[in-house]
Amino acid sequence: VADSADSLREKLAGLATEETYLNAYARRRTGDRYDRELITFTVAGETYGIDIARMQEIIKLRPITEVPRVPAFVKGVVAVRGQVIPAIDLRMRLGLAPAELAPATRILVCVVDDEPHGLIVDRVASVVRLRNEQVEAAPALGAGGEVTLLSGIGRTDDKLIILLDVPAVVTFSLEETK
Amino acid sequence: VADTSDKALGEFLSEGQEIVDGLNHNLLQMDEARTPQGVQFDPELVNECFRGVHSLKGLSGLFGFEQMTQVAHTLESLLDSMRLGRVAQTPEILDLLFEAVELFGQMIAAASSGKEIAAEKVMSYLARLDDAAGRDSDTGEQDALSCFDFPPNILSVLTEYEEHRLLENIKQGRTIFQLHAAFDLMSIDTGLEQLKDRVKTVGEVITYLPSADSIDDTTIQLDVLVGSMSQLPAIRRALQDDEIDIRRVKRTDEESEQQVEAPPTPTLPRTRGREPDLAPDPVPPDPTPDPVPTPDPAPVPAPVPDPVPAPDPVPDPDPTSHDDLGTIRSVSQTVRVDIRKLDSLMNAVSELNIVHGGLTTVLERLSQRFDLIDETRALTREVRQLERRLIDMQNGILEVRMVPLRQVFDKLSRVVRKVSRESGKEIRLEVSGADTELDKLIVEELSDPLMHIIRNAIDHGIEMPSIREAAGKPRVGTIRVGARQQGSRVLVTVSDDGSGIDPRRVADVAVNRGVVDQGAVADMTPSELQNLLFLPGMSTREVATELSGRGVGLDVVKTNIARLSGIIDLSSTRGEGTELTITLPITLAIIQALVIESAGRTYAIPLNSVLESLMITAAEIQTVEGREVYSLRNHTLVLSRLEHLFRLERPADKPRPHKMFVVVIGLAQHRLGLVVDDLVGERDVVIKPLGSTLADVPGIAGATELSHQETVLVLDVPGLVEETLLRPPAATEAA
Repeated sequence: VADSADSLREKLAGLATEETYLNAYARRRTGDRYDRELITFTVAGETYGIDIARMQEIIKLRPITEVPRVPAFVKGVVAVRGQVIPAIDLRMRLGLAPAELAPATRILVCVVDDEPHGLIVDRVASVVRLRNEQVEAAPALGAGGEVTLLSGIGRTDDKLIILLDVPAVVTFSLEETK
Repeated sequence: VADTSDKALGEFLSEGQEIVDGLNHNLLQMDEARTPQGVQFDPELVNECFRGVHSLKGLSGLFGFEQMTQVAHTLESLLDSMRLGRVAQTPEILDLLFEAVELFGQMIAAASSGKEIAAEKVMSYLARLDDAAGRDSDTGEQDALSCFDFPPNILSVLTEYEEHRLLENIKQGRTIFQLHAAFDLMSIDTGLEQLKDRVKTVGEVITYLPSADSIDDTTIQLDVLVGSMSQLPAIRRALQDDEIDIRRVKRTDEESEQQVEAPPTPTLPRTRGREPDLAPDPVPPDPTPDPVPTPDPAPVPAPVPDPVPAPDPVPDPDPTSHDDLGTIRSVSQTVRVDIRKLDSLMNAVSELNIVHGGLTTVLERLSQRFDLIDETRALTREVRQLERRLIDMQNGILEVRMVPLRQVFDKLSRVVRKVSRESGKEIRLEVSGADTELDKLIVEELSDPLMHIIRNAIDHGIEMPSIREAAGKPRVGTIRVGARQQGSRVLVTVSDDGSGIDPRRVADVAVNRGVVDQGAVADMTPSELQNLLFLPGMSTREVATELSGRGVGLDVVKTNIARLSGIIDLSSTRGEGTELTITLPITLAIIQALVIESAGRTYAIPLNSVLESLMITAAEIQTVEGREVYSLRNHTLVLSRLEHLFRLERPADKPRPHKMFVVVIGLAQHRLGLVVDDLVGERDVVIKPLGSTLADVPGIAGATELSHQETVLVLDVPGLVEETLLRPPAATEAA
């Protein structure tokens, strides 16, 4: 009996749950209508998103040339298609521990003011479409400086996506503490 | 304003700017020719101006910039009147024309952002132009022509302008010559151009027209009227062609060739209707052989290269079309290229260099395979070919980027004119080395700093005329701007013979403003004190004048120069003047670099700022006041360890070597020994910017790709020298 119960559970696991059914139904109902399309990725276990229009490309980790006299979150520079661009460790930029470089680590090349910048992230997740009503303003999380780097919170049915204010991320003074 | 695409607008703006620059250049040449007695403009220059303004009128009309069209139109009329001698040539007119250059410049600047300049400005200028054009010049000179023995048909076909020039030549006591030359139909264009060029060395071509007596179908005969101060033999020599008949046009009241001619005066009896007055006898070409044997081969006076765009190379044989000069048709053989396109070409070449590097690596591996020895050799040859072509290509692109400094120097002349007038000082600008070439980007970026230096020289340097005279100096102050190439660098110097800089006064101001403290000042040499002027917040005059502006000082100039990898030096003698020397690399696009290693990191140092490198041991390093120094040929060389400078953490597998290298870097008279672990070699590199986010990292000029996936930083030598040697202790960051 125990055996047959286990095999049944296994079979059921492959079937749609009520939840997935509802999700799929909601998606069909909204159709293709969406206001923003985001690239989502994880940094220190949290999901972040960047407007896809900002993205130039996603590259695998490559040798980064260290640059002296810059804040520690600037890992250095990398050459991308003949251009030399800064590579910013997003974990450190957000005030977290430095990134552990792993096979899944990627550099997101984002364009701010016509200039590409590299953001080092743990892992790229997927493309997510959001309607404006699914986005709320960035919460004021105390006086922490990192709050200013967020432009809002996106809410899908199953998770929160922290929307990154990319221009703010790549704007900093060189005198910032190491 | 104008409904046109951005690209077309860009073309218009740059072509417009080019025309205005040309106009400025011509006016400056006219200004130089000014004598104490008055002004006598070179008619060719007035013509050039006229053509330029005419083109500008057409262009701006096409793009709907009405203000510009309006001013160009009125200006054109004035210039036309000047050509025809209807308006007297006075210094005031010249000033008025210079004003047009300013005004057009402002209009072009405004147009680039789709704006117009204030209408009242334009109206007031137009009114003054009209005023000037309406002023009558003496016109009582008509028909001095009738007493000359011109060939019959010539006078009737002269245009108004040509007639004016003919009269003007006679008025100035020049002799009129008639040349009769035959040209091959096929090569008349070049032949005529050559003739005109040669005549220009001795006189002025007034007109040329086809002669009636053509011999056959393949040649064409021209009669050319020339006005010259020279006599016939000199003309003959200048023409370098015995085939051309030369005849002096005699006066009808003249008895013989030997008679000394009195310059004809404009008070000659006026006679209307010239044609019947002239005897219809066709004058035979002068059969007398040239009395002076022509030295053969004649020393060809090298034609002076024209700094302004060459005149229309296609001469129009129809003299009546002369009033129609200056179309918008482009006559030059040049292409205008956005410098960024050259940058991307240069990038492509540098990527090719990386590919070439990859090929070389493969070749090295192949050379281990003895069974492929023939193929390897063949491939080696090909790779070498590729290398040579790459170098050609690189040099070609670099050459295209080079432009003469004249572009900037011409603008400076204008500033001197304007500012000296405003300040009531009398100043002469002497320019030398304007043909020295530099990368276009550098020339562009140099214009503001130079402008500022010149304004400083006028404002703070040159004294008022009365003070100068009291000091036993010439009343007119002199500012010299010069450029010369020295190896891979260009030195630009600006000097004045003004009052010089008082080091003690600089010290007082520096202490008062808290730029340095009293103690530091006490130990400084006069030269070090004068160099304090380059620090932020310094200005020797307490009262900022309108000319130099408030708050913008030499520190900004210095920063701008440093951005071009240049360094600026100042030397001044009280009472005698000040000299600023700017040392610049010829190009920023591609440089030779010394690749070095320090604490496991690789960097490139531009070779043009490396003086030498030497190997030393730790024992040879001494200290003076806590600073490491090395005794190099009896001179004390301040050392700076790159790993300390950049606070590099030394990896465990890279212990500090026992023997290290000192790279002596410096520009101008400043020297610094950079201590590094190892020298890797010399490479040609393309410097790439780090992007605006990291552009201001001190000590780093950019980055370059040494090979695929190996990017290294390029050190900013002027910056490092400055922060280590020149920055006074108070201003350095707490290390």
